[in-house]
Amino acid sequence: MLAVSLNPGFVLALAAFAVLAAPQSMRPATIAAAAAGAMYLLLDRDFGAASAVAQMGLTVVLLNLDALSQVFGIAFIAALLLLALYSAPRRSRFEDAAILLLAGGAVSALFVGDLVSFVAAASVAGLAAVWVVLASPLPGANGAGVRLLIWHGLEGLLFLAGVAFHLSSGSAKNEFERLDTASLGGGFIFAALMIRVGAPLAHVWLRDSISHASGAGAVALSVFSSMFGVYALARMFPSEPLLVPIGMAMIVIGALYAAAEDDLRRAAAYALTAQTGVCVTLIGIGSPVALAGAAAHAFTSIFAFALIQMALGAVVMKRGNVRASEIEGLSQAMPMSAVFLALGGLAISATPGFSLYISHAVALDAAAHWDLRLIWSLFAALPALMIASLAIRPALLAFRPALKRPPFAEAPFLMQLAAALATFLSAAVGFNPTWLYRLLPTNGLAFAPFTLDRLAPQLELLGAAGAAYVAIRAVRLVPKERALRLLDVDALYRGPIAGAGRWSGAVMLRIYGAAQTVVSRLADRGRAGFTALAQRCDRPYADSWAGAAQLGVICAVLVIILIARR
Amino acid sequence: MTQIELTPRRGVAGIVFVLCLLLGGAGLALDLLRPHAPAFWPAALPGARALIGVGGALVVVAAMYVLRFAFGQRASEEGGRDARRLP
Repeated sequence: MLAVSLNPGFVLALAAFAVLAAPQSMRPATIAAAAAGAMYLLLDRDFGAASAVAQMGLTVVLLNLDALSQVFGIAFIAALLLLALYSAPRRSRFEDAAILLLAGGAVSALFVGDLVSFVAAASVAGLAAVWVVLASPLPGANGAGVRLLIWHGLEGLLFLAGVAFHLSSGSAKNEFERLDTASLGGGFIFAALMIRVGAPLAHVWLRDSISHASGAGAVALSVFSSMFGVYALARMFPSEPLLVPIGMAMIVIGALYAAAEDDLRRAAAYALTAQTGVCVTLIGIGSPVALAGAAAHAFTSIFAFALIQMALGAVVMKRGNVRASEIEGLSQAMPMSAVFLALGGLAISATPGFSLYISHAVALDAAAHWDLRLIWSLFAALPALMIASLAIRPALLAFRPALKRPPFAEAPFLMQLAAALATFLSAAVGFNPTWLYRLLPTNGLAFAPFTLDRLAPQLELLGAAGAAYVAIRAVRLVPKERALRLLDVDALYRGPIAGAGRWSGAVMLRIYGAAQTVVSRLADRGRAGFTALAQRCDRPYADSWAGAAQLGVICAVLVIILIARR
Repeated sequence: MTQIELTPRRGVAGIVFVLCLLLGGAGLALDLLRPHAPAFWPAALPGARALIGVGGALVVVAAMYVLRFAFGQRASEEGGRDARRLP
């Protein structure tokens, strides 16, 4: 049998160009065929590196497969298959190509075996993410795309500087290995990955881009952006102690903002930050179980967040936004989307039966030590916050009948089918966890998530949180939903700093204008002076003093010539 | 003239509450009745997850009040302070 040594991501990236030229009816089929081809290349190959080539003294390994890249690759490509279905009803050639290129960049980065190729693939994925946002038809997408371009530009610069410092440090090693944050190269690459995973202060790009992307774009950004950063951290910075506080801060910020946001897509993006924080913390803990848990949690989060973003995206497609303050009566107009929204909320809350539960149980087990008790408590409390803010709260609003039936129809059938398949995948992995555990990097993980000591506390936690939230709401202690947006760190650079830039620009323009006026006036005066002088020189005898002056000059020149000749 | 509300406006809060209560109750009962290993931390004791769950719901409500009060902005002001082209 012919063994093909091709990075699966390259197939997706090449298909992106084919999609640009394909007619609308062929685009979903092209995406699905590319994803199927990539999956075949991934599953057909044994672990190990393909042949390496030398370029400019560096070893370039374009294909290197191992358990870690395989588990992320399967999740990415399966999510792309769902996206092919989900994106079929709408017409956006550029967005389809951008999504495929984003997937191609991310999948390529999973399977390359050297730092330079990794940075190149990550940069392609970053630029494609910007293209996804710019291709969105929603208002404000252009501004969000430019802001994302700045974030990914900064990330790319940090990557490049890190790789350059790493290669120049003397080790001259281009292959993937554990990096040290104390070294200059390692520090720069670590900083770049902090942007990618959405660490505190850099977490706003994810919320900003997801809330301005189209429905399909938001699903793609949820799947291929921050979770790709988790893979890179697991590859290059396992057991890095710095990751523990960073991940914990991500959990806290993500969970609190998800609770308070009115725009449900932003809330889901914050929830993704919180679940990414769980992965980051587990990588920081660094034990074999924790590392396996991080990979498993990334895998399950991909499907759970794809599901909720699909449900939210369907609503956005029909009515332009999906604010908690405006979704009352949603179930009357879009019953299936409302059901998928509730199921997505349950899926991201680690409800038993959904896939996130089986990785959350591993995460809890990895942190069940006295010295990690705060981490364990955060992990334990997170599903309670998620179920209250993203499952119960939207469900109560969406299933409350409105006085007047909302004037829009249900989402197209293929979008519903994609959401149903995402639910099925999430539930299939949730009910059959050994399939995922066998794929994990620690040569499989022997873990039983459905034992009574793990299942009963989780049911107790979710039930208590849900009942408490409904009870608090019943006594009208929950604040009324209002159309608002919450300021975050980006309020600084979109607010005072942008304002300062705008006003300093205005002041500079005024100074420039004043300087131009002064120069123009001086030039006018000079021109007038020279014109007058030239006119006087043209008429040497019109003024007595000018004629005398010229006569004097001529005499002086003649005297000098005579003296010189002697 | 008084407007009569024709559409029933009952939501699913009651059903959700009962379901959560059943789920939580079953979980709590199983948690309390199962044989216990020594807990590494009080929050891992049987029944403690119910308290964590209630605490989580309270934190959600508190976050809604505090964050909206401190950082809330009308939705129509989206991008209102972004740098833009000068007139």
